Amino acid sequence: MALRKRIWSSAPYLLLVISVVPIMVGYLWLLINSFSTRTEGLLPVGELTLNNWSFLLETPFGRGYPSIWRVTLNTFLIASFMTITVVLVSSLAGYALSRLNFPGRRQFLSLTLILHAFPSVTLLIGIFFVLRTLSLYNTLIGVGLVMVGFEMPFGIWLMKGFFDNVSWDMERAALIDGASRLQVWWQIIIPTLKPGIAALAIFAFVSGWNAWLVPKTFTIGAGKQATLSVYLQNFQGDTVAVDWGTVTAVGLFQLIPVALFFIFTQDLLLSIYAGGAKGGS
Amino acid sequence: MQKRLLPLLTLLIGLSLLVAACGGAATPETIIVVETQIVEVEVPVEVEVEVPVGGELVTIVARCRARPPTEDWRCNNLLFGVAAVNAELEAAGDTRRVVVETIQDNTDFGDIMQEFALAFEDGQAPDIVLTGHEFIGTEATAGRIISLESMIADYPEFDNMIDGLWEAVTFKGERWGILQDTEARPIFWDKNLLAAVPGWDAARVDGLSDEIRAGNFTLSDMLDAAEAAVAAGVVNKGMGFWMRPSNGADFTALYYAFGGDTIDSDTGKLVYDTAAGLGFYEFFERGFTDGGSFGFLGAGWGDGYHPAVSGGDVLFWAGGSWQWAEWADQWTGPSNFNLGGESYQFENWGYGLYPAAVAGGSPTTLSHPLAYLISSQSEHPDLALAVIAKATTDEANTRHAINSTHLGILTTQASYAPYVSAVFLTDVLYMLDFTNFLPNNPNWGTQQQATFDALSAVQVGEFTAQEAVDFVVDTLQTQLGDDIIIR
Repeated sequence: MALRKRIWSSAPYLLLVISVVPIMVGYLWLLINSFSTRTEGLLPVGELTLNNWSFLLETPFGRGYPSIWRVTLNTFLIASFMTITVVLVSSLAGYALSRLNFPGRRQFLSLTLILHAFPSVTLLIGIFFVLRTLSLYNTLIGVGLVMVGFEMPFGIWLMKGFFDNVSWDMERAALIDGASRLQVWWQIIIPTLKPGIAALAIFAFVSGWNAWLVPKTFTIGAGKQATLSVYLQNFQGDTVAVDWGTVTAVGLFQLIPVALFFIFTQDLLLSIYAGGAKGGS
Repeated sequence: MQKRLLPLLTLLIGLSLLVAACGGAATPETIIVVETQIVEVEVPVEVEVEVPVGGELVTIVARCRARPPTEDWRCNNLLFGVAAVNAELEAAGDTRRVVVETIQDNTDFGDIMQEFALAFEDGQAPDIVLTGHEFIGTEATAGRIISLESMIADYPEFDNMIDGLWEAVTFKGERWGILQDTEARPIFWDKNLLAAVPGWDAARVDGLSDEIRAGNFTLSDMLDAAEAAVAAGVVNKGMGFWMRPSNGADFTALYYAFGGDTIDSDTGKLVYDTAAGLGFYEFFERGFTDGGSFGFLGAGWGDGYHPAVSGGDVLFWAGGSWQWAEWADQWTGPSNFNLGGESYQFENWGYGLYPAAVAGGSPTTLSHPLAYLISSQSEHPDLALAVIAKATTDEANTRHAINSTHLGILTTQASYAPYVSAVFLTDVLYMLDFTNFLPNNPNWGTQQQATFDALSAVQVGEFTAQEAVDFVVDTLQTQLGDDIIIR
């Protein structure tokens, strides 16, 4: 009986392990391949090498291409701008949509949902004309703003959901004590939503960090505005063989900040429940 | 905090172990590559330009598509021209001075031209864009590039261009670009495999290139050999003859071999020749049905085509002259099969033109030259062309040609010592006498896609050859209307 119980209780873990193994094997291959000349399955063929990482020291695309560090800085600026803007605007908008009753509230919510439903590729030409009018084509700020626009509906809905689940009592008490709406938002509500904000921040950062379509479309190739995903694509050609060693090395390099971000925010992320931090604060 | 740092620490330890393992003792290995010529020239990263008082410093932006390391010179060659252009400007009393900013990456041609169109709309088009010549029709029609016809005579460097190549950059009777390189698309064969096919021996294999050139060995003969190789177990079923696994100009070369035409010289309209189209599809239908050739479409480049053709699995295959260097570098070289690189290829592979469709007919090939185009937004097109002129010299072009195994574009390169010492380039240079080009017509993409879609259907047995031709005709008439001539 005890054995049966033990088998049943370990079944979910077994399922989890089975489902996670392919993903772990993928990451393992990524790691091994980035230090190998060639691999057969997970086994390196020949000696291990650091050659695949030479892109850190010199650009593999000729003199006209910016270095990986410039490209990384560009990507970081876009991802950071996106994270800050999305979190700030979504928190304010989510609060307003959750707590205030104003004309057009429902329509606004519906419209943001429709925008989220649009495949971004269908909007590219229209966005190009907007960027051209604002003289923001081929600029990092232009790319950042477009990315923010695409991420905002998700952010607003997510934050509205968190605000909806925060009790009115604390807020009412603060308002009765004379706090303004902005004070309530900043001093009372926001501290209870740290996990939600962390979640949105990591989603926004990862989205900006891995962006490809928007930077690819709205910047000039390998120019000064290149980002990591566009850089990575350059290792693949139409008729030539892909240099998987370098592709995996650049892929790992691109993965590092996201992994670090996750490691240092995972406590917050794992404490998310529908309405904010577990147990409140 | 400790808990949080644990995965990080584990990762760092793992990485340290891997990096430590990378520094293992090197095993001495001998790789004999006798024919490859690497011309090492230091690119001037910083060019000192003195601008006279009251003068103007002009930045020419050049956008190139290049696959490093073999194609780096596509844009880098322009940097070399700067000093010479400035010296000429000074001698002529012109107070302008020029610097070149290059943007070079490995983006696909289609992506580069999309980017060029968007940049143009925003007023940021680069002065020079290097791309496939077949985009000239579209770009000229849209007004994004300028005709160079009236300016070419001002630069004596262009007098040295091989005359027949100008056709590739000519649109509506005017030249809109300057060729940067060209290539030929040979048919390659594995000499050892072919010698093992019943009815073949080493002497016949050695003479095959000449037989093709004379029109005595036809496409049908090639399929005969492919089928015989499969029947005799020399190669596996379907490995007798391969072409590229995705849509591309190689298929147009074969259409030309069957006598096809693509453009009407009087009207400039596209042409589809149904008789040539039928021959083209019947050729593939036979290959796919009889098992001599099949399965290459959709096989992928890195995981299908390249390892199969360079690994000794395929008897005949269509490739490009530029792939010779890539195969030597990446496939028969140490990073993959480690067979000995170019010397292995010379010893074991043969190459020739696409055989004629009928005995006594003309063999053929197709070139897809890249050309420097000048944006109509360029404020100094004369300086842009001057920079291009300085990259159109024996020295500069041979540097690119040798490193990337592209063919020379200048008449004097055939006797230019560094070029001549490149055996493969010299061997295939004659192919330019048999070459064809893609048409410079904005609608060409539609025709190429329709042809390829029908071919894919023939491969899977969905269409017969005749049905494939009917499909192409229907598609072209529906999509292009009066802009297509069906013959």
